[in-house]
Amino acid sequence: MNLMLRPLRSTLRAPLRSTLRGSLFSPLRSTLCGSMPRPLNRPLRTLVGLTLLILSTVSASGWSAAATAEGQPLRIAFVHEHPVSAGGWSQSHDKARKGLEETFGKSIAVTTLEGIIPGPDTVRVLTRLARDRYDMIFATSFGHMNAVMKVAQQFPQITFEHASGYKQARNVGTYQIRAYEGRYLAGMIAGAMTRTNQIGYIGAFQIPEVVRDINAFTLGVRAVNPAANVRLIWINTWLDPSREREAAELLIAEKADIITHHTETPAIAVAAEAAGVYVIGYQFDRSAFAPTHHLLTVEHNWLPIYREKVQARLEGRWKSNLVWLGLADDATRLVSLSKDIPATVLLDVEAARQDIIKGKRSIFAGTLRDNEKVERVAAGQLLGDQDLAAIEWIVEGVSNAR
Amino acid sequence: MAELLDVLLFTTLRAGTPLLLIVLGILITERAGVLNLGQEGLVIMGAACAFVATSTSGSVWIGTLTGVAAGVLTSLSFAALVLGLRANQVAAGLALTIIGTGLAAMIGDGMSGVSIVGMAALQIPVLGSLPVFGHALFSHDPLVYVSLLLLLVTWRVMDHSRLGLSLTAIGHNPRAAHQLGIAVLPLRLMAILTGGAFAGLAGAYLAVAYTPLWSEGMSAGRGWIALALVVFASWRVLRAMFGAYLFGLMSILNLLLQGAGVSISPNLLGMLPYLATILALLLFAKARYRNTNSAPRALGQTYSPGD
Repeated sequence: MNLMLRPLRSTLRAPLRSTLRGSLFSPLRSTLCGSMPRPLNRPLRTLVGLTLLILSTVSASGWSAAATAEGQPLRIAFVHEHPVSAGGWSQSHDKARKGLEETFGKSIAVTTLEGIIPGPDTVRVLTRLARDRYDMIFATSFGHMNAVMKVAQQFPQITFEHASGYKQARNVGTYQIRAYEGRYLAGMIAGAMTRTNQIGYIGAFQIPEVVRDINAFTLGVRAVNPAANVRLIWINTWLDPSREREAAELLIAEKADIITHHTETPAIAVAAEAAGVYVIGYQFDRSAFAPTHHLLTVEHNWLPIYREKVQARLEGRWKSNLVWLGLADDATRLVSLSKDIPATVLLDVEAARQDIIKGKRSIFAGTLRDNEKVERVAAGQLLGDQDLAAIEWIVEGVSNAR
Repeated sequence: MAELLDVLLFTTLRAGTPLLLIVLGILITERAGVLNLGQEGLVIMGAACAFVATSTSGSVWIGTLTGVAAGVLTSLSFAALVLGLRANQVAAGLALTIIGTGLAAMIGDGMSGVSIVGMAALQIPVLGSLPVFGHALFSHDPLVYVSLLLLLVTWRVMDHSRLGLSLTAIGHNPRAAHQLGIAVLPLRLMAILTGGAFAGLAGAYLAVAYTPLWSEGMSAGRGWIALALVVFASWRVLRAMFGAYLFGLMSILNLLLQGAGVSISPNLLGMLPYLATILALLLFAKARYRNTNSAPRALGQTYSPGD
């Protein structure tokens, strides 16, 4: 019930936000499309519809390209599942949005919609954005994927971009951060620093993005400490501070002395600080919530990806593609490293980082077994990007239900 | 094993506390015949205001009181609609949820990166060091004990006092109660505001004691769960308490079983709290109160003495 109601709220707030952020509707377009500012009567609407139809046939592939050429800003919309203030995934995208505005200044106009729950509401919101003649629409949640594909088919002249999904089309590109590279390095630090050989991991849902990170983290742990175990708990929600904390405390009670998470809020850092165990944050610097027990955060930096995509669109050379950036482009990085990490460990991690960047070290190199001891990657083999994008088995060294 | 039991009991008590508070508030409101579906909005308003007040004043107690006040004020607007303007209770309640979540997001804007010092646990000298249950029962933060105290008071008042009888009377038949000289509207107002205070306190507990941080959506559907719990508990105080703690226990057990390596899909385990609670309360209802329908008969109906 609550889930049904939240998008309503976001639509209520959205116009206000977009106005505040300076992306005003161009008066010409808002009169033509008429969807937001004032309702048109039926004959007028038919007229407008006809005009639009003619316009779209005349300028076959790009009303918006023409508009940009005339000096109009490129109209960009961001669609987020979570509030951009929740301190996690959505906020990491929003941080890059600020960077975009600094980089491109007046040549882009950005609107942000938050709290768009995957499902029919996403279709509705995306359709409205497309009708409002946005040039480029970024949908940032895995769950938005099918809605993006559906709406993109109806609006071939609009550029869609979807984060973390695996479906593409002529006007739908995808992008993702190789966060697993950062996770691997974090795993090395955790493996070197655990005393109990138990490391707690709190996951939201068993989807490839989360599983990939768990596997890379565990491989990092095992690379330096083959005796260490990762204990995994699924909490079946991205955002519920209380459950995140409960899970963290159970892991701590089961002797985990380092915990990390793939959820939205800083609740896990709070729990770790209270219990006096180390925490490895994710997505967004969590050090403020665990001043004495924050080891590091594996931070997302989406800006290089967004900069490239928007630049390409502005220059008219945008093509649907998969952009997947990692350590080499600083898209995933370790920040706020604790003074408690020994210098020798940091040296090893830096060496591994360089090796990964230069391609000398592959994280998912065989032999790899899953946590039921079944061989998944044979010796001498590597997991390719296609495999990684759809990975669902959990690597040996993780103890959990499945 | 003893350690496991200790963790289980400790976390259950804590996970059940916000639910218990909301459930009690709903129970009082609904016994008086008013259906307030705006619980989710009240809880999140309580949480946002409590967090902002704690962060600016530096005192968790000022924060908690602000949370309670926010619950009362927000439910006052609901009361103005349903008692004053005789609006439809379902619609007004849903509106309250929508407005509450939006308003709370606005109040909490920019607060998500802020950390506060949460409410400290009480160190009860002798009891806290008792073997087995000492730590699990006697080392919580003060609000857990406040909630237990409120449970006792609510139980006593609702089931064993003249006031409780009057509330039940206006919930079943406001017209008859009015003719017996009971002031229906003032009593209903009081019930709505008390319910708001309980929900606000639950929100404050979430944001100040349980997880001292602010995040939009941190109420995580507890308001809706509590509304359902009250129905399954047939509007009885002790059964509602049982439901709240059972739900807390099951949601902890779900995590605990995963940690113990039981090979059941996490998705199935995620259903455990809902299934177990519904089943238990249904069986309970069937065994004890056969053929009694204890739903307030005037629940959700508008009433005005002038009619």
